[in-house]
Amino acid sequence: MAVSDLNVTVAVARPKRTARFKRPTLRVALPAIWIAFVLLLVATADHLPVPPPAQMDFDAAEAGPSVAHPLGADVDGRDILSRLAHGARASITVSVAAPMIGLLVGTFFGLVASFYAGVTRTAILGVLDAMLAFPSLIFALTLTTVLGPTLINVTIALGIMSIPAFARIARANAIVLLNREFVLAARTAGASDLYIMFREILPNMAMSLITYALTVMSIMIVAEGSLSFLGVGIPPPAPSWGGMIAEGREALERAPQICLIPAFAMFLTVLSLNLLGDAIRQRSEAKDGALS
Amino acid sequence: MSGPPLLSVNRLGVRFPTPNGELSAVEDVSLEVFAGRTTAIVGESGSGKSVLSRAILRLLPRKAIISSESSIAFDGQELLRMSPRDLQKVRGRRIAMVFQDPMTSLNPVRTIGAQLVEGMVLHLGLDGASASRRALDLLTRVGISSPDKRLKQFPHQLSGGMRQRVVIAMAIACEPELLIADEPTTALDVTVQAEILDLLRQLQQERRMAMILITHDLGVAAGHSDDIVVMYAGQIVEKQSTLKLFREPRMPYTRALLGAIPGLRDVPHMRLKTIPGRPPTVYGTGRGCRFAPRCDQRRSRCEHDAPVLAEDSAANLLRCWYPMKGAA
Amino acid sequence: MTASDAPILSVRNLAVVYPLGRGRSLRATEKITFDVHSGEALALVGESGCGKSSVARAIMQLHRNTEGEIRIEGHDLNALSRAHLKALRPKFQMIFQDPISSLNPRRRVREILEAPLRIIGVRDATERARSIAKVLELVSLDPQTVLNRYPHEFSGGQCQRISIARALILEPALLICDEAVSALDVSVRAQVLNLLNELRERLGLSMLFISHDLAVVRNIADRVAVMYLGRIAEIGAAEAIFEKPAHPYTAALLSAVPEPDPEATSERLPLKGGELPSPLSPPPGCRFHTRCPVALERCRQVEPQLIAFEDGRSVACHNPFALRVERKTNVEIGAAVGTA
Repeated sequence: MAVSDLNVTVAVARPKRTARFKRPTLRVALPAIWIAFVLLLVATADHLPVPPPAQMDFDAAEAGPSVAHPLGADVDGRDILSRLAHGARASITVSVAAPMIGLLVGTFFGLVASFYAGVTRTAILGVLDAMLAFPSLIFALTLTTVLGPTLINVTIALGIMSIPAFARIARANAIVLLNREFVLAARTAGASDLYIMFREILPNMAMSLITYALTVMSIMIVAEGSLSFLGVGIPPPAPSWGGMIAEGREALERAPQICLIPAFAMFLTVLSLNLLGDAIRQRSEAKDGALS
Repeated sequence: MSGPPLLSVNRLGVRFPTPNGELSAVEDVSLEVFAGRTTAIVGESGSGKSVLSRAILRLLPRKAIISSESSIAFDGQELLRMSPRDLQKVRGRRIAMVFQDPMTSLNPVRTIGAQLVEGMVLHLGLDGASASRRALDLLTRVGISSPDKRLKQFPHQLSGGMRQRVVIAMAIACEPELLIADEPTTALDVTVQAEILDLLRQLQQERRMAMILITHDLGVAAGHSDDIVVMYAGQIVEKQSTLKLFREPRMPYTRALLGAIPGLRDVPHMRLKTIPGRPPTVYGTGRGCRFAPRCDQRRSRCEHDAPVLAEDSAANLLRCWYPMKGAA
Repeated sequence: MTASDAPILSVRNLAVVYPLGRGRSLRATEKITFDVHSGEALALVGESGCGKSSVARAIMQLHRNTEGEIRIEGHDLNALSRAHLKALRPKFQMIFQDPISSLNPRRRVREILEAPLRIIGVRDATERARSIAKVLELVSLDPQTVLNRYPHEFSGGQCQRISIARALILEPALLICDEAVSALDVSVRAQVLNLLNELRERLGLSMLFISHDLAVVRNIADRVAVMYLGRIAEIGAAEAIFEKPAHPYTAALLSAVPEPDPEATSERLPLKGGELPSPLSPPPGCRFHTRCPVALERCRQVEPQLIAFEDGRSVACHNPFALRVERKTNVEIGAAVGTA
């Protein structure tokens, strides 16, 4: 009975193994290509055949695209492509590092709040609620003003801002998972809380947290851009997309591309991250759906 | 048997596109339902019985593909080709449906009264006051105590059994000619289940409704139906009157199924008869009988020649080359 | 009472409490007392709200807000230190209702089966592999085809077998099955029931089987405890209780089970009142009296205690054996009517 039982069932379980890997659709390919391009810019920023980002050239101020300046020059004659590439560093660094902070710290507190009831939970949730209630940009502003506007401080400020949301997601997921029978089974074998947290709960939350992290990344790019736009982000002359947009305002009528190019770059990056996040979420939902 | 069938399903086929190919959920299903009689549709998960029940009222998801030779005739009218407006006049009014989970059948944010009255106002053109009076009568008829209080309550304030009674009240509110009950008692306790099933039977006899009872529980089908249709892997494999089916099941699958059910009067620790393997998920049409891989009666013909659904003089159906004889 | 006589599981006056906040609490069970002896299967039967699952969870120490005593092989679980409890856990294991949810979807079967061994500290990989091979053989699954796959690649029945394998890998003396076959199809249910019966015989396993399905219970249990609204109504040998139920609730329950035999009409014994009382405010006296067709005046006032009968069963009822389940076939009914 055992073998025949298994033959029939296993043979049917996966009807077309090869059909699983599908050609990536355009909705996934295009965003991935753009992100790859941005990463390429970040990597090769110093080696591009263009002048360094801080080099001013008043002869070419507000010039359109040319051989010397492939994307044109800004108000002070600095090369836009060069600034775009170097500015990308700021954007990417913040958008990757800040959510990391939120993810790690937020997940930790979310898990703790879901496992341990009582004072611990009340305290954690209270603090998280307070953080959520506080206007985030003001908080970031305050932090950077007090501690000084450097890349690290901006990253930390934005990272802290993202903690409550991650904690909420982690907690919501954990609460559901804690009641699932496989967690109960681990308990009945004598597993410690730590074991359950790391080996049973966390792996099942990972997808959800990662897709949210992608969303947060795109938010961070805009947040960093906003801070720089307001002049309280990374101080000039270090280039950043938000700063470029701010500087380009005065030339909006004469040479709109100075503003629009970095804005467009930001738009595409945010859009790409969101689309990729959606795609990942859809695929992971499909896999979970198979078992529920 | 009284006159022509009220509902006549003919060669119904439903397929779903999936990443792994087209899934054949229901294939070549033909059956007839008569006024005043209950037909039970029995099958395990994946047999297609739920898809069949939803197909009748065209409640399938948009991506479902119904094959062109399918026909569902209700009182002479073809349901599959009806306009949405005409279909709306049939749904809830002439054909009503009761689902498995009363928690999701009722709108949690509206009162019981509001939900009961809605259908009557829509289909019967009653005004609010007469509809409310009728709602009270209906609640009493389905055995709910303090009906006036219940009208103002919300679903979460009622127990599972009571909610299902409300759902039944809603279903019969417009005096339908056909009631489709899809696993109406699966989510309920045994004692409540018995009461609900009795209620359905009584209502059916009072109003001479035709009823289709879908269930995976052969015990439920045994006590509450006149005919039984057995489904396997999307096809009908056997249909007989309830009495005869249990006395003389012809299809090996039916026999095996009956052997696998533990009974209250069995010898304790008795080894139940099992069917090796599990039902196939059917992609496209294969060769041979779908049950053959698991059948202990199979012969070589079964493996490459798919049996057709044969009808005998007594309107029984059977899809098998080598039906079994004699008592189970 | 020597060590070998001691029951594997001994529950005394168990009350399972769920705090509801603001000082209120729900007592899901009250004074539950029973034993499970070596090699026997005791079934806990009842409908929703009776507390049978709460009892199971309390025994497994998944829910610790309890009163009363739970002893595994004589050891009082509440009195043990954490380390001692962990050391004792291999003796009593559990399988759950939802087969798919019982397995971590992100782990392969090999890891799922290894996990309990790792948790109790089995470091030797070959030893683990041996244990895994042994339990897979017990549940008739082929290691080659099963170990490297993920749960979603299996059917409900196979997942349940993997769960059983996992429960067996620590070589427990007691297996608690919480509605373990309720979510399975008929043919698969039969397979798993056969497997459980076989395991009981082969391994001398003791079982606490929780179910609302009386037909399944008939197949697997030696003794039965019928629960209603947190109390035991009747407990004794399955044979005796099924043939001649003493408690009216048991009788009503038995009569309500739909039998796969259209000719066996048993007269269904209807219950009064219709609605299950809320566990938060149970009726005074006997909890069942609001729905009992043979309730006496005494039943409204005095809560019946479990009283032992000669045939070994205990019943908590002031009016036992008052309700009879009549099983007749149509032929007999026809004959009876004919003579009347």
